[in-house]
Amino acid sequence: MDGAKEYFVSVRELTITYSPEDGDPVRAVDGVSLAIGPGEIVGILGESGCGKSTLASAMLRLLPPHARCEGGAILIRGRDLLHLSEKELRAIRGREISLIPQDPALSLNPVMTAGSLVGEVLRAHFPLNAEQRRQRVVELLREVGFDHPDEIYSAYPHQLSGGQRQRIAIAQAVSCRPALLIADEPTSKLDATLQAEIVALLSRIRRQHATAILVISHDPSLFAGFADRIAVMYAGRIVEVGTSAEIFGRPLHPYTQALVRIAASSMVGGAPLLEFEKWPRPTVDPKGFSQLPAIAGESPDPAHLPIGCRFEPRCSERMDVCSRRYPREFTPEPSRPVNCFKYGE
Amino acid sequence: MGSNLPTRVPANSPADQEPIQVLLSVQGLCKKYVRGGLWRKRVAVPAVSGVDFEIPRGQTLALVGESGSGKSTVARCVARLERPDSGQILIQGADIAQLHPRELAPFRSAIQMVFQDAVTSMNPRFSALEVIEEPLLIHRGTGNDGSREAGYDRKNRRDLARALMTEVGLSSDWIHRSILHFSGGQRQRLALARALALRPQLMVLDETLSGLDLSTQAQIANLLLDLQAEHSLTYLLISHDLALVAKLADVIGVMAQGRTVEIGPTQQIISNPSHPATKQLLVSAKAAASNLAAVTGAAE
Amino acid sequence: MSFIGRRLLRAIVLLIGVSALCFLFTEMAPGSFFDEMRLNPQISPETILALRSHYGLDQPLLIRYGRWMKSALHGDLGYSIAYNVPVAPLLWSRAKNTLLLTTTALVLTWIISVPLGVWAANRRGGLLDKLVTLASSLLVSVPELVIAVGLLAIAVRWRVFRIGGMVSADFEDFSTWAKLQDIMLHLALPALILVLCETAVIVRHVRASVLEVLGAPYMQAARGFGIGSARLLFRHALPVAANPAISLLGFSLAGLLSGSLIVEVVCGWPGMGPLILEATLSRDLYLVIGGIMFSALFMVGGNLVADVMLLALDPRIRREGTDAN
Repeated sequence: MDGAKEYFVSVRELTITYSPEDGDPVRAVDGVSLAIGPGEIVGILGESGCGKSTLASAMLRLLPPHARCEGGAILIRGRDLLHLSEKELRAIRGREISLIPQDPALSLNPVMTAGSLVGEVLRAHFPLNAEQRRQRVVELLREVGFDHPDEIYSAYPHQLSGGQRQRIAIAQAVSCRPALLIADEPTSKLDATLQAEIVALLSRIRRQHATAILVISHDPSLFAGFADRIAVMYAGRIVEVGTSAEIFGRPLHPYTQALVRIAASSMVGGAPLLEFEKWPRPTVDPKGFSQLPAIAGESPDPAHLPIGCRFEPRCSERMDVCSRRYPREFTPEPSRPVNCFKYGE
Repeated sequence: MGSNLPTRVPANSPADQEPIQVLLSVQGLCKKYVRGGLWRKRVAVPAVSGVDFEIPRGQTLALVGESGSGKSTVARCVARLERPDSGQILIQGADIAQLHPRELAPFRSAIQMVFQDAVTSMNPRFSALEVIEEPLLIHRGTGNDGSREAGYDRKNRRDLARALMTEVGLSSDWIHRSILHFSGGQRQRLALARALALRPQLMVLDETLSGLDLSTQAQIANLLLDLQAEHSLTYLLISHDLALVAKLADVIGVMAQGRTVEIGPTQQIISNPSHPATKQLLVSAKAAASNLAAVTGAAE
Repeated sequence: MSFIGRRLLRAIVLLIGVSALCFLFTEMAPGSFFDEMRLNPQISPETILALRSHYGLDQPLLIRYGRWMKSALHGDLGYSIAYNVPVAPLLWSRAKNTLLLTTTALVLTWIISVPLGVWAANRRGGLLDKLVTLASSLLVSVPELVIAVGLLAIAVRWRVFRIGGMVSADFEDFSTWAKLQDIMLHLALPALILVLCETAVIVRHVRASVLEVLGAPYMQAARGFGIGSARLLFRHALPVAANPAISLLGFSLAGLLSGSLIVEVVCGWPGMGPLILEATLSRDLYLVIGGIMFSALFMVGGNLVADVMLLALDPRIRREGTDAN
């Protein structure tokens, strides 16, 4: 990663280990480095179990009790979150960094109104009186797209639809104008029809307030036209980074190639993407019936990670060296780090 | 459109060899959910108010619509987990819509349902074997010839379970493993194995692919295609994701507010939608697609 | 019909149902009040027949039921054969004593259990949590009777409390203040027994429901927004945890008249318990039925209060008929 430039938010060689009571310690996040510039939208693309949600929680220092950050640093505007006290962290959560949780159906307190939910975040960070707070909340509700904010103000979560709940969660997250917003799978639990709306909302927030956004998803199509840069994560490590155009137009890592190919095959009414034909096909089922692009196999068990490349068992282009050593970072193009032996030794 | 999409029908499909017969025919399906009763004001929520469609044997019909459009209710009625208020559900000519549970027994093995959330549709204390053999145990003596005998013998059941697990891509060594150790995609495969145990003709897939990772989704989609070719299965697929469904369905039915508002072959629905609800669904699907195309085009 | 109106109607139907069942069961139970008398050679069968007719016990079941209903509406609830007075006033005089005891115990129990349960849940695994869990497990496992007799034995030995009945022998001579003191000191032991037994149960439930809420995703989300832990607990967690606690309170209220039988008998507290016990043993028919109805009234009332409280406090229940979804 570009260590030289002083980034606004920078994760350096972060490692997070889970120590469950029964079983071996598991490295959920393994030496991950990531940098986010002010007002930049960075995406983390990866499947479930790759450690992306753990990374998101770690950015707020809100890991479950048996998880620990070992080594590395999380720097925001120069301060290392791993060395701050709980009190200092509380001042940062919601105020400088906010997390939009995955499932809007579960992340809103069922006995609090939408207005209270958003108001509580304001209350934690700003000394406003009740009337000021109410006004501010109504403004925020309007900002996230509610036409009748007064009605929504006194509505309870169970009276709202999935899309509306997600907007409330977004309103909570942006209420104190944080510098960094973390959106953890913002549309996975919603109907496909809502994806465009939520993406548009987040884009607008970035545009109007220069908020940086870290978006996490398993679906590449979420990032298209939305993220500036994308980091691809697999089995606890970053394997490729590039701009949105580079990742979709010229993916370098076989895993990325396979994912983009799958996403492209879902395209409805779009023009055929001829360049896919140039890439090697992902491993197909031996029976031969399978006709849709897919990646065979499963991601590795985090408790028993291989020494070599972690994608190697599923890779259609694997070489001998891939199982013997972990591929270091190569840069076949400027600012395009990729951990794959296709690009070097 | 979409000429990069491979053709869906495998080479030795039954459609080539036999005249097409309709397996499932739904007409005028209606269902209201009534809240309240003796002590509360009765509030009737119409979930489904007039649904019609047909699925020829060996094909896939997808019902798409937003949350609340009634598609899950249709699925549950077809699988007779609920009894519709009115309408007909014809399986090979027999109307099962209003049958009593006892009369339904022979049809139960012909129609199997797979749910979205494999986690909650399986008893967490079961092993893989117990999950798969449960339908066999329940249907001992009823159902198709295969299942009637299979249910009685423990060794038979185990062998069948192993074979099914291999077929869905799970290692048959895991037969005694608790399902708590299965990942989301693996559990979905197990759910498919369970559904196949009774050799059904119709599988109702209720949001079976939603909530899975993209790569897992692709794998399970391929598995569904394989199983369909292998066993001449007919699928009723329920989903809110039009783009996903376009990969798998021969026919798409769009639902809005409890009604089927448009039905047609996939190509037609995608390239030539007529109803506003369909167009609405397409807008979001196309938005993602055009973003993708724009972004990949820009790299060239 | 409004929510409360519907609940009231249901309550009335329930009470009628209970009364019908009571009559049915007591009819099926063998024996009658006069069996003892029958054994006495000095009382002639004619006298017994006359007594029976006097109390209407020779009438068919339905007629007796009808008469009893009329009497109930009058406020009498029938006649006690043993005491020769209308049932209702007799029951009420004793019920007052029971209520004094159980209400005191209820208030104390909840004042102790709720903060204790919340604290234990908040500092899960801490010393207090472990102590609370251990103590409550022990108390729950020991039968109420054993605790009652045990404490009684200790009290006798140590002469801390005034034991036996509700008032001392020379109660009437006391000044008003001394009378109050006397009652309280007599109340102390039975109340202590009840509080120990009930707290053990309630504190575990409170702790469990607070724990469950503290681990919920919406609490994690709130923590993620930097909300302080005190506010998280009181403003975010407890309102949700209150729901199951209120249902529990309903149970507690429901048992106000029926939960203290053992304690009353052991400590000699002149409440409804010993009265009904005696009435049951001697087949004093209408007294038994009246006692059951009183208890049923409280049961139904307690649940009604809990329902109303839930309605007021839990928005999910309140808005049942007006959801957007």
